[in-house]
Amino acid sequence: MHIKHIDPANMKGLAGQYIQELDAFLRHTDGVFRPNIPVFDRLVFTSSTASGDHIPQIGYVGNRSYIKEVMEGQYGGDFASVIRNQDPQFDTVVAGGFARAAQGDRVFELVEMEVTPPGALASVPVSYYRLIDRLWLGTPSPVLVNLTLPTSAQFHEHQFLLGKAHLWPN
Amino acid sequence: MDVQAFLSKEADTYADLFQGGFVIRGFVRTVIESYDGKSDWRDFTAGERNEIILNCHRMIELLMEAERD
Repeated sequence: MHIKHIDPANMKGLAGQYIQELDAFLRHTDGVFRPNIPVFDRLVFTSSTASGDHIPQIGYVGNRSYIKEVMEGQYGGDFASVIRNQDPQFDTVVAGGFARAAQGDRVFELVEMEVTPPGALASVPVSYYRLIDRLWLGTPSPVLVNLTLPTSAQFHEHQFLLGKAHLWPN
Repeated sequence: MDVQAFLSKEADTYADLFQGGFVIRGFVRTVIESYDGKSDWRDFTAGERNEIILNCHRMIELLMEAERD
């Protein structure tokens, strides 16, 4: 797995556009939540108590968020522990970004990794962009907002597959 | 129960818990409206209702922690 910083202006396609829109909103509101926050249904809010060892406690999970799709319906009180148990390596590698964001750094990254889908014999490369930043919802301390989206080429394929999924027999 | 009734019962309760309670009202409303613009509680599936309630409860846990910091 590789993670590298990338300027949001260089994020391509619809995924890049969504991240740029969220970045502009957060700059405009100084990180304060408002109901018109962009791509709300794809966002994830976590605790800002982030050690860097694990993904922090997860609060809101958008109904079209990447995590929701990855979890494939496993849903419950403690999302973070489910992810930790399912893929400890992923948990450890991506956790650092949350810790940096909690300290006040806006995190814009390109994450590249190999995954082996259920039933597949070979792994496939997956890449996605992510934004992590602080977000205030009226409390003295912030939470963290995370927007993770597959990169441009994969994003369109991903949307196509999701749109067609209902056509396929179980 | 329509969305207004839900908001008055649940969101107001949440809002009273925190200093910036009006932000929580906006959050709960935005969660509800993120399901293809549905606003009447009866239009949501059982799964969607569970998601909404779990999202609210998990956020309240986070915000109670953030309130203490």
